Order: sequence, then C-alpha cells, then structure tokens
Amino acid sequence: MIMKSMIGKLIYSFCFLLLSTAIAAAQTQVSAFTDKQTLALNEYLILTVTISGDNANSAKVDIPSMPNFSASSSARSTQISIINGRISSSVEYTYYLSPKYIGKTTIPPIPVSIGKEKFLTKEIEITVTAARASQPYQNYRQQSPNIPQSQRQNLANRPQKGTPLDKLVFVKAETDKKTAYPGEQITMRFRFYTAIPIARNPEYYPPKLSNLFSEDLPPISNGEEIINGVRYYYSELKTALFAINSGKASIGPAEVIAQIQKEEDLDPFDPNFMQKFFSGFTNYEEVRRKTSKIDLNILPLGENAPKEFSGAVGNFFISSILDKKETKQGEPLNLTLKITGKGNIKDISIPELNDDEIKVYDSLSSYNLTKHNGIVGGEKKITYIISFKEAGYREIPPIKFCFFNIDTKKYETIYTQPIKVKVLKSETSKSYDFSSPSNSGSVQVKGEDIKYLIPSKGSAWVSFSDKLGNVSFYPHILAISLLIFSFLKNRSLDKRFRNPKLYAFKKAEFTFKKALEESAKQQDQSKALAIIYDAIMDYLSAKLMENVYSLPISKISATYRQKVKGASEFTSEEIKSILEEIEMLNYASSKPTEEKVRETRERAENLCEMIEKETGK
Amino acid sequence: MRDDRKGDRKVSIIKKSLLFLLITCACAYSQNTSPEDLYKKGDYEKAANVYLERINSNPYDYASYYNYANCIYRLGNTPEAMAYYMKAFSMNPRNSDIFFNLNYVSRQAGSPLFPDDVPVFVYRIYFLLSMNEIKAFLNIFFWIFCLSTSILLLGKSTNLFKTVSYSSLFICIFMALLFFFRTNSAFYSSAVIKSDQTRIMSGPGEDFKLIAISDSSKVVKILSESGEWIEIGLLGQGIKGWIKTEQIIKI
Repeated sequence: MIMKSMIGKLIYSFCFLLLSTAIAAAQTQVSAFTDKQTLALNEYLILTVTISGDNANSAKVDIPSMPNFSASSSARSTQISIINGRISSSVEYTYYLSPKYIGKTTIPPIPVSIGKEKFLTKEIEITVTAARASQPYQNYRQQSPNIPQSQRQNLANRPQKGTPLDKLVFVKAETDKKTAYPGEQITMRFRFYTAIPIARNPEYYPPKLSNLFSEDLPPISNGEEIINGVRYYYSELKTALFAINSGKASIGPAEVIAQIQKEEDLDPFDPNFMQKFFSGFTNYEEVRRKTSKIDLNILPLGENAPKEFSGAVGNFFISSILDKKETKQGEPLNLTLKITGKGNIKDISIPELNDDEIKVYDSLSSYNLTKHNGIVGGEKKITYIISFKEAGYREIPPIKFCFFNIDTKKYETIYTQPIKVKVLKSETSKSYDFSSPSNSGSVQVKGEDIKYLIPSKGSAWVSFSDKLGNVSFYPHILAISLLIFSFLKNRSLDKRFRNPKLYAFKKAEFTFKKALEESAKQQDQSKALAIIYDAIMDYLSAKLMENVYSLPISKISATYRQKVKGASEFTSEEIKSILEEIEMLNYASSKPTEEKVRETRERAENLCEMIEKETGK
Repeated sequence: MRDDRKGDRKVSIIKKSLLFLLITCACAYSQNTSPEDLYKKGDYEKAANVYLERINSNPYDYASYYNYANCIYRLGNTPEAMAYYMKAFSMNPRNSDIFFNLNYVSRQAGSPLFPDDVPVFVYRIYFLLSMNEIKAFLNIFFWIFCLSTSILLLGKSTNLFKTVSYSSLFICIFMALLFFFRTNSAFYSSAVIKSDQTRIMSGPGEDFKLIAISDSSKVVKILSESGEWIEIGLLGQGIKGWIKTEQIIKI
C-alpha cells in the first residue's frame, strides 16, 4: 500500500513537472504577418513580428537576408502588463519590404531570440505582380502640380542616344540641415535616378556614419522628375540621423548597385519594363553609383544644463497615471509615466522618483516609436512599482523631466501633476516579490567572502563511518560463507522434498553408520542390539525404497535379490543371517553379551559395504 | 610524630593549592588564546597552528580542517586552503559552510568545482553522503542482505525477511553505483597543485618531455605513484602526466 501511494505521488509529481514545463514553454509566443499577400512590384508591404510573453521586452529579432525583398525597419512598440507582481510584455516590430522581382516568393522564417531560447516565425507566401500602370505616374502628376505645362508636355522626353551613362543613372544624397545639436533629427534624403531601364530594383548599401546613429524612415517612395529636359524615374529613401556628441559628424558615401539594359530601346516608364527585360533580354551590365561624403557640424548643447538633464533632446510632454486611488500600506501600485513627443524617444532615461514615504520596488520601461511624416517620435512609458510606507492620505509628488527643447533651443523642465492616494493601514506585514529584483528591497550585496569558523561538533560519526567503511574483509567472508552455507542447505532441503526416497537412498549409509556408532556407545547390550536391528531395517528400506519392517526376514532377502540387479547370493543370505541372529539374541532368555553384539555390529558394517558396492553398480 | 603528620598535611594542601592555581591559570590562558579568538584578532598563523595540532590529535574532526583552511586562506595560501576545504568536504559534505567556502575558493582560483550550469541542489543531493558513509552503508546493507537471505534460504520464508532482503539488495546496488560514480569525482583520490608554473612531465623524471605547465589550485586526479613522482590527470582537460610529490597536496 505504501509503495503504491509512493508510486502514485511520483507519477503526480512527474505529471506536474511536465505540465509546468509545458506552461513555461507556452508563455512566449512569436508570430509574423503581413498587411497583404499580393502586391505590385512598385508597392511595398508591411511585415509585423509580434512577440508576447514574460521576457518579450528582451527579444531580439534578426531579419534574415531576403534576396527577393529590400527590408527597412519602421517601428517598434511595446505593451507591458503587471498582474500580481508578474510582468509580461508584448512587443511589435514593423518592417517595410519592397519586392525586387515579379512572381511567387516567400518571406523566410524570422528568427527571434530571447536569452538562450530561439523561436522561428512561420514562412509567409507573397505574390509579386507587375507594376501598376497608372498609379505612380498619376500620383506623381497629382503630387507635382508645380511642374510647368511646357515640361508636362515634354514628359515623354527620352535621353538622346550617346548620352554618357553617368548622366543616365546617378544618385544624390542630401540632408535637410548641415548644423544640428546632439540628439536632434537630421533627415537624409537619398535618391536613385535612372532614365534607362533597369533589370530589377537596385541594391542599396547604406553609408558609414561617424558620430551619428540612424533610424530608417520607410517606405521607399518612387516618382519622376525632369532634369535638363530629360525625364528620370527615381526611388527615394529617407533616413533619420541623430548626432551623438558635439563636434564633427559625417555621412560616408551611400552606394547603389543596379543592372541596366544595354542599347535596348525599351521604355523605362513602361510599368512592366522589368518583366519584359527578364522575358527575353539578357544583355545587361552592372553599374555602381556612390554619393559624396557629407560633413555635418554638431553644435554643443547650451551650458548650465539642469542636474536632472540626462540627454533627452526633442520636444516632449509628460503625464502620469496611477492604477488605483486607494491602497493599503505596503501594497504595490503601478504608477505609469508617459513621455510623448518628437525626438529619439528610445534613449530617454528613466526619471527618478524620490520620496521618503514611497518605496520604489522596480521600474520598467517600454516605448512605441513612430515615424509619421518622416519625424521620429513616439511615446515612452515608464511603470514604477511603488508602495506607501505609512497609512493616511498621501501624495505622489510631481516627477521632473528635463530635456533640451529643439524648437526653442533651450533646456526645459516639465512636471507631472501630483496624485493623491488614500493609504489604509495594513493588516499583515505582507512582502511582495517582483521578477526583476534590480532595485528591490533594502539589502544590497556589496561583496562576498568565505564563511566564518564552525564549531567542532564531535567527530564520532565521521570516525565510525570511516571505520565501518574501511572494515577488514573477514566480516564479508563470514557473511558470504553464511550465504553460501544457507544456499547449499536450501538446495539439499529442496532435493529432500522433491525426492525423499532418493534422498534416503543416498543418505542411507551415513545414517546407518551413525546408528552403529550410537549402538557402540550403549551400555545396555539389548538396546544396542535393537539399535543395530533398526539401523539395518532403515538402511534396507532406504536402499530398496520400500518399507521392509512389514516384511518377514525371508521376504526381505528375496526382495533384495529382486530389486538389486547385481545382488549376490552371499549378500542376501547375509541379510537373512544377521537379522535372524539378532532376533534370536533378542528373544533368548539370557542377555546378549558385549562381544556378540560387537560381532553382529561388525557383520552389519560389512554387510553395508557389500550392499553399497552392489547397489552402486 | 603528630607534628610531622601535621606538617605533611600542610605541604600536601599547599601542593594541591598550587596545582589548582596552575590548572586555573592554564585554563584561563587557553581560553584567552583559543584559535577562535586568535582568528578574530587576525592572528591567523597562530590560529592555524592550533587547528593543525587539533587535526593531528583527531584526524576525524572536519571542523578543524575547515577552520584551518579558513586561516590558511586568510594568509593567502589558496591551494592549501582549497585542499583542506576538500578534506573537510570529503568528511562532511552536508555542511553548507564547507560547501560554500570550497565553491568560493575554487572559483576564485579559476577552477570551479561546482560549475553554474548545474543547479546547486543537484550537487547537494549528489554529495549528500561522504565516501566513507557510502562504503559504511554498503557494508551494513550487504551484511543485512546476507543475513536476511540466509534466513530466507533456511526456510524462514516470511514477508518481513523477503522485504528486508530485497530492500537491502536494492540499497546495496544503489550504494555501489553511487560509489562507482563518486570515485570519478574530484574528491576521490585527488590532489591540489601547490604552486604556479608547475611542470607536468611525460614520465616520472626531469629527463622526460615537458607536456604542460599548470597554475596553482588545480584539482588533479592521482593515477599512480612511482617514488618521488605521481602520475596525475588534469580534470576535464584530458591531460595526463607526471608531477613531483612535493608539488601537490593530497586530499
């Protein structure tokens, strides 16, 4: 019963372990989806990778190389929820993908790594069709009302034959400003112009940046422009740049590799010229175009920065929300601080919440990055997990946030509104645990050292186990001997039980000789004689496997001759003679003499030897 | 005669008083200079000597090994401290202070004995019993098995004896397996290299080729001995070689 219940417990524990592992594995979910499954060559699609789970905020998305698409990162947004002290988050990464070829293609599985764990999204099938004829052209016409009528009439202007290649295909990069502050957005516009057909969408290699970091500003826009009477088709790519430090900054050459048609009179403005190009034309050449290096001057931020300033540059607004207005002493609350506006929102550091009455367990941050109209901005949410030390009507003081206002070119400090909270007295001294213990609690580990001395608690057990563990081999020999002896004894008993007659047959001589020895020790000769008689009868019963007590003496001797194949006449006669002699001595009026008994015993011994020989045959 | 007796008694009382005074003073002195006090005062060398004496007088006192290692560690002799922590650990692996210090010192020496990729509780379970305890349990349960099985074979076939026999056999097998696995651990037939730049040769002599140079505090497995030389295996590195006996501290 105990064993059964133990096995039951073990099975339950195992199931519980399996279940917990499965739940843990199920906590993180990764998926990818696109806004459309079919698109034209001159369009783009939006790919969204969503990660949700406990550690989604630390997820890293590695967009694999996609030969059929050009990818650019668009935005990232996070959502954090704290339920019963457990933090879970959901993060969305958005990418713009521009197709390079017509036909069916796939977006391969996208690897997402969270710590040591790796996840893969599902493959997505995409169909790329030929470019739509009217849209870009019409759009361009609609969006470019300033093109003079004379130029519009010349829209069909083609480049003249013999025009140098560098005038037919070229690139241009420019920035919206040459002077900026660290953290201020500088928009770089890169354009690829072509007046001749190209084999596929060109490959873009971004420039090397010095003292700058970048954010893509998708999508890639396309259009047409008349330059010196020649109509060019262009693709435009915008990038937001942010200077890191004051001083010099530079944008290295950006490169484009395109494959152009050689001496083929195809219309580049035909929306399907690429399709035609691939269908029968193979005479193409690779051209590389590079932009020139652009130098920028980064001005230092104003002097006398407030001590709260931690490098935020832009134009921001601040607000705060508390998840409940009434709480208990020591019970955790979520205070969410929202910073919205334009500027590089990701790099805003967490403002401090300092108040002696408030205990800050932890703070978590998430952000939604937006790039509306080519301006980088968004919202940063900082969630403080706080509790009040004392009961009563309390107030969360205003939280300060200082930034360099890029519009006014001055430092600005903004504040949240104070929040009033009713704090009830705690009934218990309950403590709360949060998954990231970075700032929690009042214990700070400052270092490690070896532990202190330990008192001597006696060494009896160590000594005893040492002696018992290294005991000599004799007790083992004794134990093994006992085991062997009992095994042999068991086997012997087993044989006796299985075939008692055979056992008696084999043991007959031994038992007989023992009985004779006993008779020799007897003082009373009549008794000694009786023992000899019984010994002979027992011996014969065992050897003949038949109870001879019930048989007359003549019959015993006859049975012996009948049952023993090699029985001699002498032996059977000797049996008869000895038995008759014993009977005679027994029934005689005088007691048998010692000498007579010894003689009978000797005869019995000889008889035994003869029978052993004969039965042995 | 009576005066003589009185005189003798007085001398005897004076002698006894003096002896008592001497013992009291000795006790008081020994209390003031206990190794714990010396350790507290930072006189680690003297404390270490006292603990070493205790080890010599009672080689089974694991606390003395541990305390001696603490003193030696404070004196900056990490390899010897590690060796003595290992000795203490091999006697009483359940003591958390010994485990902590050994882990701490081995990490500091750059050769962690309990790597982080395995949870600590696994080590605590695996090293729940010392080797001597495993051997003692193996012996006891072997004898119980022999006795109970003999009784069973001799015809006393009761359920009690059957349960005892099977249980003891199971424990014996378990202990034998544990013993087998533990013989490969760093705490069985092992040693600690004393000093940096210790030369490991391909044979038992300086004439053989130098195959490796080891830093101090590395735990090595003793494979065989030949005079002044010991064949060792560097744990987890697949290096086998010979080293002088004086260059290591045996566990």
